[in-house]
Parts: sequence; C-alpha cells; structure tokens
Amino acid sequence: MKLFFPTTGSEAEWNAAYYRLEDYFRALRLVNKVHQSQVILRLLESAAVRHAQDPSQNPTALAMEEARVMMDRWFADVFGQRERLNVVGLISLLAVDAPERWPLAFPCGEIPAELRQDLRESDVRAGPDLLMSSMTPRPIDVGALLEPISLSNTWEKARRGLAILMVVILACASIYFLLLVK
Amino acid sequence: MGLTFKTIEVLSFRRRLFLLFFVICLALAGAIPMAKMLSHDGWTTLKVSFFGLFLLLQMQVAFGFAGALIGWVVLRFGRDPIGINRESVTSETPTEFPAVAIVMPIYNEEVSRIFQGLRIVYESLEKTGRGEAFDFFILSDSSDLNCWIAEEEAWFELCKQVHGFGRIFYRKRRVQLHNKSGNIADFCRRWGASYRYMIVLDADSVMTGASLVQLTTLMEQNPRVGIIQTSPRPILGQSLFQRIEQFAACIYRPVFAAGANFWQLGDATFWGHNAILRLKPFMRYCAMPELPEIGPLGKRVLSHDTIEAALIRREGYQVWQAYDMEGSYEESPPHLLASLQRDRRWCHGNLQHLWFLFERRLKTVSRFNILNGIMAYASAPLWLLSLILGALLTMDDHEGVIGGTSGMLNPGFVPGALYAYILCLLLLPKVLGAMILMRSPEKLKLCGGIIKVALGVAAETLHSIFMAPILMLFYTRFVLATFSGSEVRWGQQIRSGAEGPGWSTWIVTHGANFIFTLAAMAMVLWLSPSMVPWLLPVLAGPLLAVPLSRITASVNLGRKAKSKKWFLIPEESAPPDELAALEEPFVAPQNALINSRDYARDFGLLQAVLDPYINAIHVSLLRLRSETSLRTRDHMPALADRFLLDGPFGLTVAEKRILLWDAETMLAMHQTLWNSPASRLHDWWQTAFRGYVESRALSIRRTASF
Repeated sequence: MKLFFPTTGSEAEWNAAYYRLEDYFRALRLVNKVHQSQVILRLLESAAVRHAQDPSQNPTALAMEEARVMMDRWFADVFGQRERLNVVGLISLLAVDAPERWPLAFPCGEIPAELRQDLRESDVRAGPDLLMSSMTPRPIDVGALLEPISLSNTWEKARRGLAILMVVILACASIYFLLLVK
Repeated sequence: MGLTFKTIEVLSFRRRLFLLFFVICLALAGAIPMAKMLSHDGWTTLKVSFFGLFLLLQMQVAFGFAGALIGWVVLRFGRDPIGINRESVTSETPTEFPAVAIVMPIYNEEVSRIFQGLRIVYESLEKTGRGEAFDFFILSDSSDLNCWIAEEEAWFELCKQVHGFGRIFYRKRRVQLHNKSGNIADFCRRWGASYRYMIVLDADSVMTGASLVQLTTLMEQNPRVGIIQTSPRPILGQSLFQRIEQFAACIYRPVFAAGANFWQLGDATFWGHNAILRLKPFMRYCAMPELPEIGPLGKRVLSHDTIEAALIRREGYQVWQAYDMEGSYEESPPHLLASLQRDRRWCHGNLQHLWFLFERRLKTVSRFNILNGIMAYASAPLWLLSLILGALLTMDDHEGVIGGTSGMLNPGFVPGALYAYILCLLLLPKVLGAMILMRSPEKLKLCGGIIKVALGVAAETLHSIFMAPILMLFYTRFVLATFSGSEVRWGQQIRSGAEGPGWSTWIVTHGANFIFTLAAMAMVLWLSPSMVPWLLPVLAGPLLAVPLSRITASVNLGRKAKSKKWFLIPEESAPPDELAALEEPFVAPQNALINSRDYARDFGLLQAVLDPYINAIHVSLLRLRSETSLRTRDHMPALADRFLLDGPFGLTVAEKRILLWDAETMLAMHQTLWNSPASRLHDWWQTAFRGYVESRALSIRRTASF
C-alpha cells in the first residue's frame, strides 16, 4: 500500500488540503468515497511534489490547482481544446448526470464510450442563435387635438388650477352644509 | 370559420348597432323615470349634474347587462355560429407545423411554481406529438439576486428532467427596460424572426398541449388573424378570496364572454397572456411608442396589451377571443391586498390609454375597447360623486317631493320599480350565469350540486355587494393618485401565512377608507338619519373591510370551504392531468443552508460562487466581456476581494449585482475561494463551506442508488 508522506509543509496544512479536496468533490457530487479518496491522494502527491519545489505555496491552493489540471485534462479528452472548457465540461457533466451514472469515471480513469458520447451530445444553450431584427415603435400621433397642451408647463399650471378649484369646491360645500343645517 | 372577412365586417356592424340600440333602450328605461322625478319642481344645476352622471353610469351598467343577456341567449339557444374556435381542428391540423415560441416573462416570482407550470405545459405538449415545433423562453427580469440564481438552477433542472436542452431557453435581461412589454420586445428583436407565432404565458399560467396546438392550427387556418386570446380560468384557489373569485369566474364568465364575442368578433382585445400572436405583424406594428411627456400619464406605457390589440387591428389583422376554448388557466391573487396592488398598476396603465383615444387611424371598436378599460377604473370616482350629489339632492329636498324623508335611495325618491330595475341590471347576470350552469347536470355536479351552487351564488353576491364600495373607494384613490402624479406605496411584497396578512396590515390598508366612511355616516346621521338604512349597502363594505379582508384572506377557511364543497369548480372536482400535477412541487436539489438566517439573504450569490456546477451554469448564461475598461479592471478584483475577505456584509445590493453580472469575476472568485486556506477567508465563508457541501452531500447520499 502506497502511503502519503509529504516532505514539506505541516500535517495541519496537508489535512486542510485533504478536507478542501474532499469538500470540492462532494460539491461535484462524486458519491463514491473509495474513488474520491484515491483521487484525493493522487492529487495530494502531485501537490506535495510542487510544494517541495516551492514551500512558500499553500498546500490547499496547490492541491486545488492540481484538481483543476486533472479535470481540464479529462474535459479536453472529451471535448478537445475549446474556450471556457471547464465551464462547458461541468455543465455537460451535470446535464447527463455523470457523477451519479458513472461514479468511477470522473475526473480520472477511462472514459466509457457512452459517457463520452452523451457528454458531446449534450446541448446546453441558454438561447438559440440570434437572428436580430428590428421592432421600432412609431411615434404616437394624437393629431392637432392635444397640441395646445404640448407646452411644457401647461400640466403644472393645470395641476395648480385643479388644486385651487378643489379647495373652492370644498369651501362651497362646507358653506352649503352649514346653510342646510340652519 | 367559413365566413369571409367582408361578411364578418358586415355582421359585426349589424350586431354592434343592435347592441347600441339595446343598451340605449335599457339606459333610457331607467333614465326617463329618473328625469321625471328630478324635473318635478324644475331643474337646478345640482340636478342636471346628478342626472348626467346617472345617465353615464346607467349606460355602463346597461352595457354589462346587455352583454350578459346576449351571452345567455347565445349559450342557451345554441352556440354563436361565428367564432374563431367554431370548427374542430383535430382532423385538419397542418402536416407541417410552423415554429412557435412560448414565452414567459417573469419577475421575482415563486421559482418552484414557475418551473412546475412550465414542466406541465412542456410534457402536455409532448403528448400531442407536436412538441418539436415549440420552443420555450423564460424571460427573466428578476431583480432579486436569490431569485435570479434559483431560476437558473431550476431552468437547468427542468431541462434535465424533461430532456429539454435546446428547446427550453433562459434569458436574463441586464437592463429591465419598459418592464414586461420591453422584455417581450427584447425577445422579438433577438429571436422573433425565427418564429411565426408567439404564445405568451404569465408566470402563473398553465395551458394544455392540446390548446396550444389548437391555437397554432387556428392561426394557420386564418392568416388574417393577428391575435387569438383565450379566456383563462382562475384555478388552484387556496384562500377564501381566491375560491370566491374562481367560483364567480366559473359561473358568470361564460355568459359575459359569449356576449362579448357576439359584438366584438374580430375586434376583441388582448389581455397580455394565454394568447397567441402572429409575430411578423406584431413586430412590425405593435412596438409600444413613448407617450408625450406631459403630466403623470406620459412617458412609457405601463399596460400594453389593449394597445397592441388596437395597433395590430389598425393594420387589418383581426383579434379574436377563443372564449370557449378549454385548457387555459391562471391563478388569481390570494387576497384583497394583492388584488389591489395589481389594480394600482392596471389603473395607472389603463388611464395612460387616454392618449390612445386620440391616436389617428385606430378603429372605432378599438377606441371603445380602450375606453372600456379606462372606465373600469375611472367610473369609481364617478360613482362616488353620484352618491355625494344624490345625498346633497335629498338634503336639499325641503318639500319632500323627491326624497320624502328617506333620501335618494329610498323608493320614495327612486320609485320601487326603478330601484328594482337597477338592481336587476346589476344582479341578473349572476342568475343568468347560474342558469347556464344548471343546464349541464354533469358540470353542476362537479360544482357541488344545485344547493351548493345556489348558496355559493348567494354568498358570492353578498361578498360582491360588500366589495363594490370598498373597490370604489380604492379605485377613486388610485385615479386621484395617478392624476396627481404620486405613487401609491405598498412597501414590500407581503409574505402571508395560512391566515393571510395580519390584522395590522389590514388596518393600515383600510384605515383611511374606514375613517372617511365613518365621517360620511356621521354626517348623514346628523343631517338626515332616515337615509342611513338606504345607504347601508354602500357604507357597510368599507366599515367591515378589515374583518372581511382578513377572513377572506384565510387559507385555512379556504380549505374548509373546499372540504365542504363551497365555491367548488369542475377543475377541482375532476382536475385534468395538467392541473393535478400542478399541485406537486417542482423537485429540484435543495440545500438546507438556505434556511439558515445568516445565509438566506445572500444564498444565491453564495451558490453562484461556491457551487462548481451553479457557478458554471451561471457563467455559461453570461456574455464574456468583449473589452475591459481600466476602471472595470481595477474595480472588479477589489470588489471580489472584499466579498471573499469581508463576507457579503459590506457590499451593497448593487455591488453584488455587478459581481454576478461579470463572468470573469465569477470564475475568478470561484477559483480563489476554493484555493484559499480557510484561515484567509471571512468566517461567513468558513461555515458556508462545510454547511453547504455537507447538505449537498447528504441530499446526494439520500438519492444515491448504493
């Protein structure tokens, strides 16, 4: 049995790196614990080699970088090199439920033909191809009827007028009531 | 339809002439005795004003009654031979089906309900065998960041569940220009040219696959038709308020809809959802113009549907209402407050339509439809004014000629026959609706039987008598608020429990109306006490509004009513498959961390940064920055650092939104977060890591097959 003995870094740092990778794979919904542990150990070993060369780096960061390199290699094997490979790969994995259906295939190991085909055929698009066209409003044409009120401050004047009118009406109504009561 | 365009035009004209004559007769039957009474001791300014208002409102009431009576005749003595949905289309469905886009504009709606509804529509459509012609577009304008991320996750999950990738699309607008109409216009500009038809659904709409295929086929068979509007039935009423609304719609709407079709024919109106539109003319003629920037009714149009119908009709395309088409549903507001919130928006929107009354070249019927929409709200202050004028008239009646001692609503003022006549115009349509239902024993049984229907109609009538003055006061306030340019503030959306909003909310809502009504009653008591009994139907509603609203908002009472078969509708007794499935929740992965008080507020952002899949989904839906300004290059990393090192507490909502909109920053934050040792992150993140991942792992373990 091969054991993991890093030559640099503290035990606490490597434990933290282990937990971070474990969390990451759980977030990726890799449910097979044995497979998960094996992958984590492989990644930690690669990270430990890099850490020995540059001990100033944090083991957690190195381990996560190694995980990403491993995933990118796996995605490139399926999709070839393309823009935003990691993004395309992850949403394709989720679209075909790869972690549940092929729990041992990701992120390393042999890629089953069916999985490869399903991933390539997954068509995750937010929208179809754009076919731009115009939808231009025609200005409203109310004719000459309302032209007199097109002066910018007419409405404000009308509002003030309305307010005064309301006050006058209320005052008249009050006087009227008082007269009625008498 | 078997009738030419010209024949329909001629028939429409004749039918409208008949309706006009009928309405005038009905209105005069009330107005003449009223005029005789008022003119007894000569006319005064007050009397002329009152009579003018009475005549106008009498016309409105007569119009509603005439429509319902005609609808009743149509349904009682056989179907109207002219209607868009007349001929069976199942045998004539075109072999080549055109491309149809089903669009659903959404704005901070309940995510689970939206996507369950969409799933049902999608699956129902698949069963027809015509599913491939239809593409679905979820057009989000959600401003709530949690809602946004939840929508993306649910969209992906829905696509997975129904194998809808490449057929169901999600689009989030960066700038929410012109609300819903702007959202639809944005869709049209991007993808409209790829589709011949567009079916618009609301977030709470459900349509069966058969109805969608039928609508498309009808459009194919009638190339001069621009819009077909279905008559969606309110369903899934939980609270008592919703149950009463859906019961009323089930019983009364058929007669009103059949009556409307009788005179509208190809000049019907559009309600904005559960309808199909011919995209080419819609895009060409129906873009919403900016209104003149004068007064409070200017700038952008808030309510677009009626105007779109008028604009497409102006260009010669017909607008029909498929009032008798099955399979079109919607939900109604859960309580009065939610209904009023909606009415406030509609009131403003409909009053803006005043501009379009003067728009050149619109068809007269379109102008009438617009006026009808305006009057739905503008009539409220007129009713209030007529009540005030009526009260003044009675008080002025020293000789007791018109009012005697009992006031304007006294049969002494309005003779018994006239009083009964007005009540008849208002209430008979309800009886006509019930009579139509009773002709169908099967439907009657599904509504709980004859006794439950009769009691339901009586209870609904009582409820509407209480509601009418409440709505009159609110609509009057809305109209005044609109014209004064002020906004009615409703505050945050009310999250109500099983009992609806609390007492305090209702007291605040109805407080002003209560005081106004109490003052009016005190004044009447002081000046003419004998008038009070006759004014009670008008005064009771606003005085009892608080307990009435609270009681009708109760979901528990709604459930009890349902169990006792009160306000039952056929869609509940024998629900179609689509509606039965709608009550099930949309099953999507859930993370328990969302229930944590510390994380609930920023859960969407947390997920989009932390969860590798959700980060990838979110980024894949964003555009890459084509060029980065120096300002952005400096600003974004600093913002991202603050978020990771200080948690979300120091960031404003606008800053969080900026982060979410930037694909590169979202990718970088995800990477930095996972690469960083826990000690370098804010406590909020340290707890989130374990809490989120643990919850995710548990949910996976529960569903894992081994």
